[in-house]
This record gives sequence, C-alpha cells and structure tokens, in this order.
Amino acid sequence: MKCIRLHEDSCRRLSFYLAMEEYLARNMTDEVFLVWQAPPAVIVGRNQLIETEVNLGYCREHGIQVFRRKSGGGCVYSDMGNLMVSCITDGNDVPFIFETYMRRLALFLCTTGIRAEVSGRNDILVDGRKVSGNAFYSMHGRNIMHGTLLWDSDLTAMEQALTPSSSKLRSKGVGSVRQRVANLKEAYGHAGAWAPADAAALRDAIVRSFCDSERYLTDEEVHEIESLEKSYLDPGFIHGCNPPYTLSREVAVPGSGLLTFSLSVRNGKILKVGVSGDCMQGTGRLGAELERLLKGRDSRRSSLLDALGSMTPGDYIRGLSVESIADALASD
Amino acid sequence: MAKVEEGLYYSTTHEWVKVEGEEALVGISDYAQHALGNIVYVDMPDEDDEIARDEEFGAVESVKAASDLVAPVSGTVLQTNTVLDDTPGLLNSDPYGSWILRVRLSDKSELDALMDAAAYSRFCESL
Repeated sequence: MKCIRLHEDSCRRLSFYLAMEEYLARNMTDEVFLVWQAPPAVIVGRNQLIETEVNLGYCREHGIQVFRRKSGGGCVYSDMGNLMVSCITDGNDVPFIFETYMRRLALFLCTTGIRAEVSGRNDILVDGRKVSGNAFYSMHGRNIMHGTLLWDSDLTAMEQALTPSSSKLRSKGVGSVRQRVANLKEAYGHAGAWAPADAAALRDAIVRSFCDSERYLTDEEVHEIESLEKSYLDPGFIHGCNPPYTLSREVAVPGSGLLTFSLSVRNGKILKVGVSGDCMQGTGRLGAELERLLKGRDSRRSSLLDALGSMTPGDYIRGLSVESIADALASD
Repeated sequence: MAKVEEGLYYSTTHEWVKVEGEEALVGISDYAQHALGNIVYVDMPDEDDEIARDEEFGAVESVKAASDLVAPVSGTVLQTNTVLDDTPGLLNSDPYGSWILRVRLSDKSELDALMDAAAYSRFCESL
C-alpha cells in the first residue's frame, strides 16, 4: 500500500483530512494509507443527531470543533494525543474488506507486544478497553476506512465532550455505543513490552507495517482538497444532515398548569406538533393551530417566532405566551 | 448469488427503478443490501426535492458502513417511504418490495442509459 504524505509539518484542522480521504478515494486508483493528527474535535457519524451525542456547550468553551464525517457509526473525540488512521481500498464486499483491515490493524498492535483484539463493533480492544474505533464509507467500489488510535488522548475531555447535556430529543438516527476506553501509552506500560517513545514513533511503525511506498501530494492536489474541504465545513452538512428526531418539553404556564409540547422534525423542518396537558381545555385546538403555522418551518427560535407572529396563545391556554412556546420548541 | 428482478432498470451504483407511467419507484438492489450488511438507517430527501441523475440524494447506513444513494434518474420527489424510518431492515429482507422514493420523471430518455435485468446480472457477476 502507498503512504500519502504532505510536504508540510504543521497540522491542519480535521475537516482537511476528511476531504483529503475523499479526494484520494475519488481521484486515485491506488490503495493508499495515511496517518494524521488534528487539534481537538468531535466527529459525529453520518446519520447522527448532534444534540443527542455531543455536549456542544463544553465543546464551545474548550475550543473543540464539531465535524460530521461521511462514514457510518458513532461519535468520536480526537485530539493531538490520538492518531487518525485512514485506509482507502477497492472492492465491494464491505463486511469482508472491513474485517480484513481490522484484523490487520489488530495484528500490527500485537506485533508491538500488546494483546489487541477486534471486537464485533468495529473496535480494537486491549484488556477489554477500546483503543481504536473505526468506520467505513462505501463509495461504490472505492472504500474509505478510518479510525482512531488512542495514544495519549485527554480521556476526561473525551468523556465531557461526548456526554450531551440532558435532552428530551429522541433521534431516529444512529446512536453511539458507550465503551470503556484506554490509551495505548498506558497499555504498553502494563504490557511491559516494547513501547513506542511517542505518537510519532507509533505512527512510523504503523506506516512501516502497512506501506511499501510513499507519495507526496502536489500543491495543486492540496488546493483541490482545500476546495473539497469547504463541503465538510458547510453548516448545512454538519447540522443540516441531522436525522429525523422528536422532541418533548414541558412548560409551566402560570395559573393554568403544566403543558407538554411535542415536535417531530425531519431534514431540519417541522412535520408535526402536539400539545397535551392535564385537565386543560384547548390543547387539541392549540396543537392543530401550531402545526398549521409551523409545518415546513425550521425549528430555530427566530424562525418559530416569525411563524407564530400575531398568534395569541392566551386564547387557547390562559397565561401562555408566544415566547414560551418558542422556548419550548426551539432547536437552538 | 444476488437476486435480480425482471422488469426493472438498474444503475451501476446498484439502485433499481420501476417505471409506472410518468412516475417511478427507486430502491436498492439485492446485491447492494448484501454488500452492505444489516441496514440500520436510510437518509432520504424531502418531498418536492429535485434529484439529478448520477448525483447523491441520500445515504444508507448498515452496522458496518455508510454508502451514498446515487440517483439513477432525474426528477421530483413525490413521496419518501417513511416506513423505512422505523424499519430500515426491510431493505435487507425485501429489497425489491421496499422502495425508497417515488419520483416524477423529468426525462424518460435517461432510462436508456440504465441496465435491464440481464445486463445487470452480468454486471454483478463481473464485480
């Protein structure tokens, strides 16, 4: 396999490497391999709902960027203590190709002296703890397999970033599977085996194991990758690709009681609205009116306020305001 | 050996098209579902969206991989099969009975570029 390298030493943001993988899969016919590192980021799977996977507040406060990849599976955290490994191959039989690659990756780790095993969920475990999570993007004959290889990642930041704040959203998309994780640096310590001195030594060893030649990308190719990267930075791709979800929130209405609003959203647009409440008249009529006004709208607060406009919800439920409805239903 | 249903049109990216007058149903072939493994999610466009031949219009995700859905024909989405939201595995168990989109065809001559069942069988065998 051919190792693909960049002339520069500095790291780019993670989206560049996602674009690089896609560019190589689409424009090269060789089977290629790359190992890269990028600043702290969360990468959600292609069909995941960000709000149920990521603690967006924590990520904002700590400068952790959120990206979406085109491969399937669950959400991962990556920082400079993690090696991202990408393998681009030919072929159509996804389970076979993936299994072969995963076994080879585990075998590589075993040759360095640690007991690594492939688990059924596209992971590599050492002593029952996950050190590598992998995903697959099938492009009709060309395949991108990529994954994490935790060397010395900040596992506390990982835990925080991947624990969403309490949410009443229920996604129809793909959920992540929580597992105990470990860093390889620690695993090598326990194994008492030969240990790479640092992430760079581990990277060099894995490249030697997988590759028999190398190629540096030209400036022109890098420019084309930068152009493709824009699609990975597009908020419409990162946030607009959220799978359908339902939301349920309670609102206390002074003098009237507790109302429950439910919302069904597909491709970012509202499909259904429901309202229920104990011993309250008017919830059915209110739900029908809200659905009439909101169907097809996006669920950002400003859009909801705009659509609700001159409606007077107090006519249905005494004490209820347009603002409290928007707060209950807003996605932002 | 993947099943190929007679009377449908097929693309090289393994979507099938069943023509009904000016409309068509679009799904994925038995070969495609088998190559992907157990399907857990289908990402579909909105009704009234336009799809363009050879361009991505959604994705299928299995326990192993995500794969682009590529439009075999151009047209307007009349309906998406929302049953697949809750039971995406129907694409595995009944790939030719489980359509993904109903579209109004914008150019029926595009069908000439697709394969019939015999040609698609040969294509799958060559892979």
